Amino acid sequence: MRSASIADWILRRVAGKERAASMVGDLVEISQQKGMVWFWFSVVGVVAARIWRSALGLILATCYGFSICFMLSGALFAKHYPTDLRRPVLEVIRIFCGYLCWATLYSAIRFGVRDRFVQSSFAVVAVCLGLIYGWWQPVVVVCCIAAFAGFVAILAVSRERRRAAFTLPLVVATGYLSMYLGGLPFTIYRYLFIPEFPRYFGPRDYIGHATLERLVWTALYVQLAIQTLAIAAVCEIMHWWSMSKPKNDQLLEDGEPVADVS
Amino acid sequence: MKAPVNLGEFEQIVLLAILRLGDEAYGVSIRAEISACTGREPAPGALYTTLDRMEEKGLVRSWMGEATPQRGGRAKRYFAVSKMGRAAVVNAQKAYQSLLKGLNLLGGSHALSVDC
Repeated sequence: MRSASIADWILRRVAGKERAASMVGDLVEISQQKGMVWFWFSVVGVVAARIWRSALGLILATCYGFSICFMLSGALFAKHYPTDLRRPVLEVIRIFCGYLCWATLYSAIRFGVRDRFVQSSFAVVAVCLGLIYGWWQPVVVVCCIAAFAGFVAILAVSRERRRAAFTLPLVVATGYLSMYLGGLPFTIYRYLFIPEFPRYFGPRDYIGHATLERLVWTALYVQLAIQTLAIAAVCEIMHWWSMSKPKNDQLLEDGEPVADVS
Repeated sequence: MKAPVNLGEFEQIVLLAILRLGDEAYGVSIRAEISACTGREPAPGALYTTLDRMEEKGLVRSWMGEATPQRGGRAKRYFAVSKMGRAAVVNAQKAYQSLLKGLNLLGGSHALSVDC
């Protein structure tokens, strides 16, 4: 029974209290024939099955989220540099697209590509990418505007998609604000422990400070991890919210005809 | 009217097992029913993940039952198929039946005429 209590504690970390208790109860019941080795393998299997998607999503989003934002920035200013009013508009689109790519990477792994948020995000990212890579061509701009109008029209007929679309600006806002939150630990550390560098680092500052480069990379990855965690938290909360349904689906009763199948 | 949800193979198996068990569908009995009918024992992790996902989609409902001594005083979590779940499984089975028509895979009287 001590093993069951430990398993109960472990499973509560990845499932609710009642669900964890019922799972452990099931495993205890089966393990009376299968043994304790099977019991612990099953506990590990349940934990792995419940967290592998989140863990993989967090790792890949942390590693590649920033790279995607950086790549988009390069793409926008590589060949044709916008100098007029289009520049701030394209900057906003780039930031929007970057954070959406970041969130989509996590959500596609965590919830699968059939998730409404992932599909909505893919659609908006495709429109944004079209504008970023071809903003100077009128045909591309017209096609992107038409595609976006189609996307908005689809939202009008689906409650689930509307809820998913509501998540998009929320994710971007969270990603942008968490950039400052993620940079805060390093800023505090710099002011407390490296008083000779109260300003931003430049390339010349690395000379004579062998550990500085390592420190900057560590700070960058801490910042990225905090941003990813914030984006992932919003995705989780909004996924739960968008999937919640009104309680009007009655339980099946014996002999009840299934009228809405054909 | 909402279109029926598309089900994976394992989701169909679990839904059919729950329908077969009626009021006695909980983790252990669902696993035993699948094992008895299909000859394969699903991993508990896969089974609970599938049940949770289907509950999230509204295909099944769950509620907590009584605690029993052989489970260390822990309650059972019972499952029942919702209307949407039944519609989804019927839709999937209809698709299988249509594809099976004219094929003599099961032999004898199971072979159906070709009108698909």
